[in-house]
Amino acid sequence: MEIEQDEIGQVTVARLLDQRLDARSAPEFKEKLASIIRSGRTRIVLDLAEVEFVDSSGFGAMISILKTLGNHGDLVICGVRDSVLSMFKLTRLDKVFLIVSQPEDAIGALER
Amino acid sequence: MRNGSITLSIDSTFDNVYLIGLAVSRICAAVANDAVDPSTFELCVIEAVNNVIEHAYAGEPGHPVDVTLSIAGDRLTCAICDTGRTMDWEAACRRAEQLPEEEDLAEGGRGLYIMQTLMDEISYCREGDTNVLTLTKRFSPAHRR
Repeated sequence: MEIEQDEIGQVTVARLLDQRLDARSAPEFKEKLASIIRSGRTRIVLDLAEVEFVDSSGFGAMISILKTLGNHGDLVICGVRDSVLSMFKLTRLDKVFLIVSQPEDAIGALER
Repeated sequence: MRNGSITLSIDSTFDNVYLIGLAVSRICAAVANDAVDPSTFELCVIEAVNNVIEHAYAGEPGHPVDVTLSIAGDRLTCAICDTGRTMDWEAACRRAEQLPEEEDLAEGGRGLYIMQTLMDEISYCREGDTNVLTLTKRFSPAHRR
């Protein structure tokens, strides 16, 4: 699981470069995001623009990140493709995560 | 129009599951001509295979997972077979009737719900020493290529 990381002020943008977030890649994804949080970066944008496929393990990993942040940080998801967004909606996780269209919208939401 | 089936076999590790997904998705796209969304069918098959590896084989590699994709008439069917621990199907279905509450932030428990929601039929049985989960999607033969 390759993740490109940009730091913009207090916000960290984590851009997934793999096309699949699944049971194979979810553990590494979770550990890389947890490492970012442990380093003190707790305002996180997760950019899924490159991701074409997410299974329930991938969604579980995103929930794990949200739980790791707890009340100490925030997570905003952006760039979600229609096929992936439909799965967020099917599992009602669109009610759990803040999902916006563009990275700049996500950064703006975290800077407020 | 032809009927037919193909069986794909992998070892029980998550590293191999995407290969099943890619094959299922491409075959689905080729035969169902937009009547069945390939990514939806792929997701359901992958959820089923993940469940086999995680629960039937407790995450242990070295066991067979056989996936048979069949097209017959107006039905696209996928049978996922394992020789591991048999699932309590009725209990699993009861748990899958409802999604985890949003505020619970449960990390698991959505795979069977996804399959039940997106497939037209889903069944589970024991045949000899093999567990068989069958996913079925129906479509109009007019949509077939």
